[in-house]
Amino acid sequence: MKKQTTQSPFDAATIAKMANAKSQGKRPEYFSDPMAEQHFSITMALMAELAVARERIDSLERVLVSKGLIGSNEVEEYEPDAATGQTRQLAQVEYSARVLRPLQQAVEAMSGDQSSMSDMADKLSDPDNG
Amino acid sequence: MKSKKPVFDIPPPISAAQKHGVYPELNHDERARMNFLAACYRVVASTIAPGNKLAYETQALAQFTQQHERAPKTRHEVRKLMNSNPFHNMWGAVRRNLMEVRQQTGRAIVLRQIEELAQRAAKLNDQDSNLTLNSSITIPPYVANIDHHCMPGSYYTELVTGDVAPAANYDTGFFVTTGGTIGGLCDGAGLAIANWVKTNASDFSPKRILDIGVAAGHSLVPIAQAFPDAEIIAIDISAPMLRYAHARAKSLGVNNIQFIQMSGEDLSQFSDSSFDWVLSSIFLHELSAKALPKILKEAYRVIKPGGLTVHLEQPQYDDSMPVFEQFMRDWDAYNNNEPFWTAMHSIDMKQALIDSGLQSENIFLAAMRGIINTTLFAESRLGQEEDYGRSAAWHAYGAWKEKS
Repeated sequence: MKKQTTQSPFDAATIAKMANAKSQGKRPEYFSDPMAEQHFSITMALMAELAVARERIDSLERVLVSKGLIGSNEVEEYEPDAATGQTRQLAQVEYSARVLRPLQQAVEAMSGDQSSMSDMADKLSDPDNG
Repeated sequence: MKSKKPVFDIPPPISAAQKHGVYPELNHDERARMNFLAACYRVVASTIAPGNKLAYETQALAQFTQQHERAPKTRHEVRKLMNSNPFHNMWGAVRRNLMEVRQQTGRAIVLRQIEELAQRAAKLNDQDSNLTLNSSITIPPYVANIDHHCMPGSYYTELVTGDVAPAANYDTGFFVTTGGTIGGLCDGAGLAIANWVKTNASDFSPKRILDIGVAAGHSLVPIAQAFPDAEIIAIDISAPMLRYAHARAKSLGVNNIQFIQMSGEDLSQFSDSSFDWVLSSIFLHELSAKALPKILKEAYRVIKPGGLTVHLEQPQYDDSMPVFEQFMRDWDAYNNNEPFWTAMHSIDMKQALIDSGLQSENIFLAAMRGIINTTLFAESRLGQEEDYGRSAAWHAYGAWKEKS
């Protein structure tokens, strides 16, 4: 498997957290219940991840079929060795961080400036205060 | 034979985006994530977004009229009304989340290769006199306090020495959020501007051009290519954007742009009447009511008599635009962290240009549609569904400066 470029001062788990960072200001509310808000965001993230998984499986099957390499039961019977198992678990950590982004952002929202974009819009409309 | 044309055009995969010297590497799943976003944006725009108007007309409007015995008069009244409409909120939640997933995706791509990207940019930028950074620049509050497009750290935050990550993130996502409609290099707006000038001012051959707020240079590169003999100066307040823009332009074979870290509010490094053409592209809505007139005045000062100014933006709101359309166009102001959008689009741009010093009779409004490379995309997808404020149809607010 081609190794991807990783030239970063941040380790993979840190990148997973940093990639999720919340943007400045109060997030708009779309639902009356904050828990519904988060639930929906998790669902949308899962929607993305399922699409990615499907595309990956599709790539894999096409490659295997094109090379005549696929055995009828090989995937079903596959078990990773210890090192591979560990690598796959790291991928699982990154995956969960992505999906749980809204909860991480809710934590970040509990500190720092939470000015709404309405406040900002008023502020930036004021020729003496922008 | 029945037509197999789908009900809406399928956005191209991110592999169709044109690469350049600082384009980040995307692995299989990162590409798949971007492909999902492009497809999902298109489904939402084509199939779900039209429900907003239906929800307004069949649900919200009656509720408002019953209460007030009149229809809403302003986009703000429509917004307050629609903010309690379940369909509109559900659509909004989907769009906001897609933008957040888009940011997560782009940041994960660039953060893992942040040093490699910085090195690639540094190699292209090394000792090049066409890139001038100014580390003592003050980031203005309308950039420092707002993470535009829900982009954490905005355009300017640097995490490593020589960072270009915010620009690389911006670049990869741009192709996806525009669904390929402005081309493989996301240069459709710049091509439109260059084409307009060539068509409408064929005698005009600018020797010195200034672009204010160049960002990653998506719009400026095609202009530089259209006017290869011109000396072009591009300014921006963000060092990461300028490093990336310079490296990107250079790797695309464009060498006639000088990139300088500078605010458009203070062009004192340039003397009066020193440019034939001053332009900005999809930039004015990220300023403030205080900064906008300052920038227009500075632009006026540095344009030569007989010179041109062009500012490309989404259309302004005026009395001829229905309040519902104004409200939909305003959505990004409140939900995609572009809060000056609402005030900017209700400014009388003609008056703003007059106030900057230009003469009323020399001011024009030109409609411009995005131009895309038809060899890459079989047919233009422009002019299909109206996805308020997000389609490649702009207005250019411009003027010729009086000949003294």
